[in-house]
Amino acid sequence: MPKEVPSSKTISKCDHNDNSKDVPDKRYDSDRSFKLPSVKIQKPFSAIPKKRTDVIKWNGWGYNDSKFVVKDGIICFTGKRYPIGELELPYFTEWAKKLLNVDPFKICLPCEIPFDDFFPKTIINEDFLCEIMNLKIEHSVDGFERLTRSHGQTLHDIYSLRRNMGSIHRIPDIVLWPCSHEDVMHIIALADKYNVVIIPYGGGTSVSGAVSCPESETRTICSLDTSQMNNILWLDKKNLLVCCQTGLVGQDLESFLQERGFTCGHEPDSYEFSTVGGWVATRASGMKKNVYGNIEDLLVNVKLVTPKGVLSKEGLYPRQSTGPDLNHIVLGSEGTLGVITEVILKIRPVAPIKKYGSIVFPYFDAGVACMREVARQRCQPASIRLMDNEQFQFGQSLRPKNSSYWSSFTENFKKAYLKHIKGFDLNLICVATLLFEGEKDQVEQQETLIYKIARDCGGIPAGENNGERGYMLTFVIAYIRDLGLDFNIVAESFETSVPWDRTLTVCRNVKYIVGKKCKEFGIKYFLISHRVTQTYDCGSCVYFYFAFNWEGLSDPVATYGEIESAAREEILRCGGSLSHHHGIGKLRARWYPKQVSQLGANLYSATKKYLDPNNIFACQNLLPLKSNL
Amino acid sequence: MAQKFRNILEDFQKNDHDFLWISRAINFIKAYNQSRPHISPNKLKKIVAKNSQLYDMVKEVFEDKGFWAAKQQISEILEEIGYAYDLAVVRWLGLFLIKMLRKSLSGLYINESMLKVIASEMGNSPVIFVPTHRSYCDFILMAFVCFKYNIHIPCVAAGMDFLSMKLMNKVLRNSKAFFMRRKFVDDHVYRSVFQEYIKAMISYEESPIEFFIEGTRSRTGKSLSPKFGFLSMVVEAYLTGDIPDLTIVPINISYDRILEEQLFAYELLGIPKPKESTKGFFKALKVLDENYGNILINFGDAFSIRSFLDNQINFRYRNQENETNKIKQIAFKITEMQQSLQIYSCFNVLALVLYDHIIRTHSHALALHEAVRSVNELLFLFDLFCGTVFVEGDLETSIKQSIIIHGSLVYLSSENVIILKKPKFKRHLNQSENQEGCYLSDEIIEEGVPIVMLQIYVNPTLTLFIRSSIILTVFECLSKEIEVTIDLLYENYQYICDLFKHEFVLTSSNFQEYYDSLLKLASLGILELHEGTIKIKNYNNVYIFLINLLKPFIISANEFCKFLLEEDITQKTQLQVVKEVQDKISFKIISGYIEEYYCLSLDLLSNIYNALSEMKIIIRNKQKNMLFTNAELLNDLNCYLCCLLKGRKMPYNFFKNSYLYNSIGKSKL
Repeated sequence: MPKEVPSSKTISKCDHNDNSKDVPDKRYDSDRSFKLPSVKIQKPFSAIPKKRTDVIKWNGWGYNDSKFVVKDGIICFTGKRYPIGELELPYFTEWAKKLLNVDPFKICLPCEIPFDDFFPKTIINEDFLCEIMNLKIEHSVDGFERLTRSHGQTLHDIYSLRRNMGSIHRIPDIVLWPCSHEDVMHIIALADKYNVVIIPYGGGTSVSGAVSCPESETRTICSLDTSQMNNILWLDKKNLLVCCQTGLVGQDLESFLQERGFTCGHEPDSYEFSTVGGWVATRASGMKKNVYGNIEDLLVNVKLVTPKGVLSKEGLYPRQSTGPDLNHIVLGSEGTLGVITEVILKIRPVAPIKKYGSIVFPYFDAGVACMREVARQRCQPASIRLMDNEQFQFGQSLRPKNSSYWSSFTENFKKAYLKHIKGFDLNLICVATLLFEGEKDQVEQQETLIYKIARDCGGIPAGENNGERGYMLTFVIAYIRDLGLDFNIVAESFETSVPWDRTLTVCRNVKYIVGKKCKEFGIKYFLISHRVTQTYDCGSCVYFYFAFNWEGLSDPVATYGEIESAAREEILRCGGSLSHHHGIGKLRARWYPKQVSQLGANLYSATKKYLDPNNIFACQNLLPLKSNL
Repeated sequence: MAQKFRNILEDFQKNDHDFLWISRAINFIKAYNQSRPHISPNKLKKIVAKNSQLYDMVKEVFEDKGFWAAKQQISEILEEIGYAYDLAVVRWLGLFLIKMLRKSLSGLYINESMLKVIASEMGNSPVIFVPTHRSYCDFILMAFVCFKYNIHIPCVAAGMDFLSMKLMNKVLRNSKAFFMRRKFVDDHVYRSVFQEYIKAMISYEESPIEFFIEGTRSRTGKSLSPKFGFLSMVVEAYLTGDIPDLTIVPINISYDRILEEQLFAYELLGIPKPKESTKGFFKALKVLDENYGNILINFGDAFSIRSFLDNQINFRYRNQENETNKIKQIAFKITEMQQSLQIYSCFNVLALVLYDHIIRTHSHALALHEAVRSVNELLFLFDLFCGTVFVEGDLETSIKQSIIIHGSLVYLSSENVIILKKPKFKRHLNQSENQEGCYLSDEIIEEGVPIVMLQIYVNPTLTLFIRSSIILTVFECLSKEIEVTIDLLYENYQYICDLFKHEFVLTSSNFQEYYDSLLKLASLGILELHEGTIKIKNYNNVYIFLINLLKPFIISANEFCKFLLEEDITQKTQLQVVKEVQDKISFKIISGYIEEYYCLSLDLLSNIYNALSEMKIIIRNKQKNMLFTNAELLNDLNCYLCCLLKGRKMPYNFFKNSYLYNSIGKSKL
């Protein structure tokens, strides 16, 4: 197989348009848009070190120092990273007791880090490993390192780590840390030669089972950790583009750009931990996509290393009419076709004004009507989200006692006014949170228009404070599941995208079907809640949260799986999609052919067979093994 | 069985507590909790009126008149349909009802435990109550029961007849009755508005919704063939995703004595019902001074439309044909459940005994002790056929009691003989002006009314016995030369089932039901099943009883065929044909050729007409608006029926080129 490894010694002139020297500017005489930089790159600060478990949890979400804990029967949040850090949360405690029948004194601690002899035996292809060592690519066969790269963040993953370690049978055999596109090319060539399985691993925030190892795999499985490929290659201020390696973590990219007055604007809820490569591989969507676009809108060019060579387009063109856009083979490939090594993304100047807002609606349908109208008029602010009443109440509970900043929504808003003058029922109201970004007058204009639409739909503007809090909690919510698991609560979220006229149907029917299934399984305490998180011209993205107390159930994860499947069937039947931004992975693979038609699935399969004839990217995402080969 | 019923009138023994009861503070149980504030009846109408889709639908009709004319008409129709709600009216109605019920009923029985289960499981989807419809009392009783159990009183579909009643229409409307025109398939505007209104009501309303699947009161005591119109509108709301599910509660309301029994008997003979008026209503109240015995309201197992349809229906890719089939299945399931919920009164059994006695002896009198003995025997049969008879205490006392309750129909002479009463019939003058007037002579009517009234109480029991009855009747005429196999008998059985499909709501020619009936007959010692062949073993009393049940129906059908063979019907309407058949039968009764007065029933004759047109024996040419008959099929049917009646055997190859032959041919394939 011919392999062209570009020489890293090519040197050419730089176009010095600005004075910052830490990053090379794009070079115009280069025919290859990704060409390696001439000057030594200062690596951007990395929030997550190579030994990731030093900073982030090995068996849960997020930073080691940030978590929910129970102290004297009251739930608190530790650490200072988030605004609710080091505060007691009595209302949240009450909420959990009432809704999910949680007993804060009945804790069940998670499993400890296992001893070395616990980890599944490695299957090592010695020749392969030997060649890797010759190439001086960093690697490890340490059990714990392998374990931490064997999973994402699905309920099944975290439950296994915390409660059911014995169920973990197959984890990667070797962890590799390539530093460059070239390293990856060598690795893929060797893997193909020695028939070794490669599973690319980025931030480990997958919620589709995409990085877990198929249990039936008997070949050596290599976890290709991209974390050391986290360089910014160049920054092009004229064209507003950035080129970076794909192991770069979202928050590192963002802080690098912000320091220089730019932003990528791609902000998925996981952006503290997820990597640029992961975004591309799953077709991620960011909270502020209304201004900046989803990943497919941001992606200008990408390199995919496959066993057959490197797939990459020519140039930095704003748009091309050159046949099907092959970027779209890479976007959403979920690690089944190759490794994404470098990308060129669009960037924007940082917006001068960032302003929050919120609207209270008498009931959910009115809120959806408002979102629909906003979408019709295409006047979306950077973000507009609509929570249902359950989530509103839950959000309310996440505040400390006696704090003016955190005062409850209704205190802020004069309960009496809502109830008696507007006739709102506090058990029905729901809240939309808004985020505006742009020039001052632009933001003002947008505000006026949106609040007018809101009023027409029966809503009332409810202040900036409520909006800001809503967005702040976004990043905290992900931490709750770990606590829940210690108290017999399983929780998970799932999402869909759905045309406008089916949005309410999907919301209503999923709530109904989940309630019905819970009853069938004898689940007494559960929470099902939804929110509309994105608006599009022809539809919306709906996010569901589902949690239940598993007391009396022998296999809560399996039960959860059955209920989510029923909910997914219902979503599909009502006209919702299989996924808006979580991806297919292994969890949703069984529905994939139906979503894209059999021909579509075959087309994908043929592509896969061509690019990866030996199936070394055998993570079995999208299409299960049988149909893959 | 009887223990699960509770007489709720026991809760209202003291008069002076009534007011307290109706004025109590109630926190009504909602059928469908929604995540939005409740929509008032007026708001509901506004929502429908604003519906732009609706306007698009009716636009063409108003081509030249424009938007405002359409708006105007839509809102007028909505005013006519729309229900209202005034709790005060409901409370006063409650007071009035409790006084009336206490006076005229011995007991109002509810299977309370089931109702409580239903109420406790309400909340997640609209709940549809589907009671049987035997009397105007039905929806008043349903409202009363709901009020008693703190359930929101149901929104109920009422006929247009009530609209002309002053005051009463207001009372009904304010107790959540909405009004539905009778036939509106061709009225495009009305249909669209009505459909949209129902859809909106289903999706926004939090109280249960009630409708009668039979479409009208059954005058005969039997279930009517289910109607699909309203049901399909309700299911549509589920299929379009406006509601997550639908809970359907079939209900049977069994009356000891039906308020309208005499009116029904007259109606069946062809004397039209008086127009509903408030005056008439208050006159009718006097009727309530009599004792009407017990009423039993039997709530059935609620079932979910979602579970029933399972995943067979896709919301996105709708399939009209599949949906129509499913709706039919749901409708028949409801009717079937309603039938199995029927609770029989002592008088139903007594009516059967009297009916059998009259057919056998032509005497309208039966000694009490004989009646008691026969009733006792029949109770065993009810048991075998899974019919529940509600008898309190000693049988003889119960029978005597039910004779008193049915004083309008029977009385006990001083010699302890039960005698059928003859009513005095006075023909109202204005009725002769009526186009639909009755051709029958006064004598026929006077003789006929008690028999028809009696049949009204016999009819509900036919659900239990009719299959066995058909089996035995068709067996009679099968050739003795050949062995009667289970399959052969089944084909013959199906033929007659098709003929009486509407009469007895024989939902399907289900083999399982047929086979079950065979087994029952075998366990009674009447049949013998041996290696797939059947023999009659014992021509006993039960055998004769079962054969007799079908007799008037077969005679009617036979007379119908004869009429079609003799007369030219090309220029006639269905109604004319039916009336003329009735006329013909009445002549044969006068001349003593036919003895069964129930053959005169217009309901029976129309059902036969409908079956004949489905069997393609009567064919309507829509373009020419003319009726034709298929002579070949008609001849076959006529011969078949003649054989049945005379017990004559017919040769096996009788049915060449005929319906039955075809059906045999098909099943053999």
